[in-house]
Amino acid sequence: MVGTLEIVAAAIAVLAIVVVFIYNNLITLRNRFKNAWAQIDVQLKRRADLIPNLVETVKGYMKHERGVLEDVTKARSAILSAKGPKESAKAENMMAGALKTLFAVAEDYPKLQASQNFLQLQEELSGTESKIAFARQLYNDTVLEYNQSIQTIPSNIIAGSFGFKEQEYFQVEEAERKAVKVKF
Amino acid sequence: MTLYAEIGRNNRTTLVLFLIYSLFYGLVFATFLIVVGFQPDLPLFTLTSVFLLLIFYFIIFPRAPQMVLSVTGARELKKKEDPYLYNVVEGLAIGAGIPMPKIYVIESEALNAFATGIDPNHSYVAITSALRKKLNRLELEGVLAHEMSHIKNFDIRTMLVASMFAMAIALLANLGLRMMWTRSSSDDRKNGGGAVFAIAIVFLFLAPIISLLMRLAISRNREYAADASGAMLTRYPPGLASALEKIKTEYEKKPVQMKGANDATRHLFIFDPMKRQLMSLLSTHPDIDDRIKRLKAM
Repeated sequence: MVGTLEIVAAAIAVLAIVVVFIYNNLITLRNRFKNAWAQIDVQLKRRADLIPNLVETVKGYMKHERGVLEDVTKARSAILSAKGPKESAKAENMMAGALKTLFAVAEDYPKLQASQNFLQLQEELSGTESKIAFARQLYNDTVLEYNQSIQTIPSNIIAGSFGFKEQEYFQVEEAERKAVKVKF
Repeated sequence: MTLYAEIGRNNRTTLVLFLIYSLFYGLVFATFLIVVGFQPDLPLFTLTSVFLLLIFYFIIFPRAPQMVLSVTGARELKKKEDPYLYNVVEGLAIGAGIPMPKIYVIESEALNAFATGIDPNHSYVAITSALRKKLNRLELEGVLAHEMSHIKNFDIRTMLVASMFAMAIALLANLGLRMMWTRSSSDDRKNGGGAVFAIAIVFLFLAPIISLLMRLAISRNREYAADASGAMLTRYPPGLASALEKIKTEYEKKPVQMKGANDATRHLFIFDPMKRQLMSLLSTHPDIDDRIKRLKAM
């Protein structure tokens, strides 16, 4: 004979298990977007590491384009000395812009275009830009999943009780949304 | 239909198809018991079959990807041979959140690509040299994203589970039909079970064919899913749509045979290498025009 006490106990047990599942899922989703954020930095570092080589390769050919090269070097210094995410993001944007300009200008130097070294570097940098974009995309995708879990019933109840907060997406700054202007 | 809705629909369809397939399997097993009766060595038979299926899953399945690669004549690509391709695959892997698959190239005039591997940590993506040359950057990304979606969605394992169902069904149907002859039939017929018996026999006869059609339906469903997931990954459905159009046009002009393509491997490719002009029911891949249409609507 199953009495009311047994039923209530069973119901509480089931509820507890459900709460555990939801909580663990929230933890998993949160760790995922944290990992995705860290992966962006991995790709950014890769880009930064390619820069000195690029500047060396290009210096000899583009003797009269000191401004363009300086922008790249300045951006790299800004990245290395940046403190905190806002400064880092600004420096990274500087670098992206400076590189775009450099490669646009390099189109006018046939000797440079014929250099295997340069072409390889260009491909590597282009590939790294793509990977940075993919890393950011994954970050936003994981944030989406996490935010959905935080906001939908029933996980929003658990999320609220345990202090899971909504996460911000990675956004492109207004300045970067404008197209890069190349001066000839 | 938006990307998200498309992906949702595809996954729900997979669940439904597998549910139906499981029920069908149950029906076959029940029919087998009707036809064969409760034999004394049935438990042993069941145990042996389960054991063989486990061997298949844990021992044969892990070796299958290497076999597929060697039978198609694929060769591992070194980064410096094609840094662009390498970077594209690496970028897509980052976007998909999976480890980077090993890249293989197949020297062939055929325009095709496939993905294989037991799970995302042990995965491979292969492309024919002709397709690599033919596609532009956006199309290449689209094709590779489709293949990597198969890896990410564990489609290879899904199809393996489906083929394990198929093996079990084939075994039961075969055995059932054989044992029908050895069993004394007179008793059952007297009990009025004759009609049921006859229906059971016909059912067992048709079971392998129905099983095949179901597996092909699941395969086609996963292909749509990979198209949608791939488009989600690149955020650019027209890339894959354009690639499929190129593959289709070339195939209509001059169908090229793919080495190593057979009934066991055909579901892995992006374009059915054994495409028959007959009804698409027999195809592992959906009709290519429909795939292009869906992609353009995303």
